[in-house]
Amino acid sequence: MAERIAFVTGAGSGIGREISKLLASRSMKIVVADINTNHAEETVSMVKEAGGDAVAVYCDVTSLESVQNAVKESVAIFGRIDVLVNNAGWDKVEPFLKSEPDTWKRIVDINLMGQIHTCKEILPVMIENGYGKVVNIASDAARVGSSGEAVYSAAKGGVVALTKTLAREMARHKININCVAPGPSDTPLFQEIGSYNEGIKNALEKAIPFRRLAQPEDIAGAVAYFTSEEAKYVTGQTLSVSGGLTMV
Amino acid sequence: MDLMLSGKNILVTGAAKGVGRGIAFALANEGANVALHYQTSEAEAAETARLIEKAGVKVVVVKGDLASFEDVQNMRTRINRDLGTLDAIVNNAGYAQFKSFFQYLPGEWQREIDVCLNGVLHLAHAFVPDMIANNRGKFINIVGDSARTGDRNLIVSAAARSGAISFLKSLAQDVGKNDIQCNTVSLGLIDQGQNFNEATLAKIIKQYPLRRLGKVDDLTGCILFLLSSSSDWITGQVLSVNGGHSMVD
Repeated sequence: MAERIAFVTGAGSGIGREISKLLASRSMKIVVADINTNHAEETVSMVKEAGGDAVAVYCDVTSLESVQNAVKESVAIFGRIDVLVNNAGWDKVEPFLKSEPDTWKRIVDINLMGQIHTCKEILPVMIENGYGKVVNIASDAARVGSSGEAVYSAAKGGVVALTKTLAREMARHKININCVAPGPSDTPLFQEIGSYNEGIKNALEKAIPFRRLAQPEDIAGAVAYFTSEEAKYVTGQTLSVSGGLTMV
Repeated sequence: MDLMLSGKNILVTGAAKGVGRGIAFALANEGANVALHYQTSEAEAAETARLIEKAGVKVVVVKGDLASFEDVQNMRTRINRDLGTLDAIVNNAGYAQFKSFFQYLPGEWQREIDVCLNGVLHLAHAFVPDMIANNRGKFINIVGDSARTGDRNLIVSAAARSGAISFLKSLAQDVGKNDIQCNTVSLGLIDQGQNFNEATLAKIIKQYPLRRLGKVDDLTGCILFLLSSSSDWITGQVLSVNGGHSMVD
């Protein structure tokens, strides 16, 4: 089997880091794309320590120009991109009526426009090479809503719809595009949210049938499945990885 | 990649031929012991078992009608005696009639409900208590996409299977504390040698963005993923393997 090249956004920490480590363990070379290059380099070190191959690339997904540069750099290094994992995301949890336009813009730019930017730049590379798998990280908030996450859930809902339409448009090129929708996960972002929302962790653990938050590696397994040959007939689908918190 | 299924005991229903046979082969290739269920296709079941044994795993062939709770209890007795308690169930067996609702005589739909819905209840009631006692288990039910989207010619089986989806979600909530995952795989049309004529096939394929029917291999990858530890955080979900035919939220 040809060695695949995976471009993972937000790969400097949390879920993106675990995705990078798992895909590397399955013989993929990883472009660790992140806005924080120090964090990206840490992920690269972890991948290399485990015997894999990875490079850190600066990528601000909110800027089309930055994405263009990151893609150029990646293709210059590895020759192509076979797998795109749109993982970069961010949220600030607060009641909608207390939220401000600057926050809305940041949420939409990172969570939705970021994925639009990478798809715009990387899908043509995949079409040219005749191979491609895209996994977009959405959220259970997109499927069932989530108090305090109005704009985030709207942006992630956009990700789900973007996935379906791109899956239809790209099917003729045999490119599969699917969504993984994580439930609440024990990540640096969640710790940031927990710092200003006391009790959120305990409340969620009570509501999740498996009685714990997701660990980043729980999410990575589903991403790896969608990038595998085993999933070549699966496209346009959304899979929740949430310990049973939501069942849509 | 080792899926860690070696030595696991897994029941596959409707495994004598077609999709079920493909799943049984895939499991045996991963080193799992297979409880191979059939109802009427005895010769094919024996042939499947013979082929699977070549992989060096244990096989127990069990006959039964999933619509009968007594039959399912007997299956459990036999499997527990000859193989041990189950680690997972893949319920592939089903029964459907292809016609519109008003072509049915009243009551003619009972068998579809008995197999596609009650069969799942029977399997769960008979086997999941062992999984609870073991504090681990996986229950996978296979349905057609008609259960998610409706289909005027599969109107009864789609309803029964939609009921089974709902049942597995509720069960997933109940047994989550015992580390048991319950998920549904929903299929588009799988090529099992139906011999469609060219015009019909062209018409069907037009509805599939990936422009082909599914193959048994397309399905087994998803089943293996849901049986592996890579999916331990996934429960109560429905995943379509359908070439993009429907994209349900």
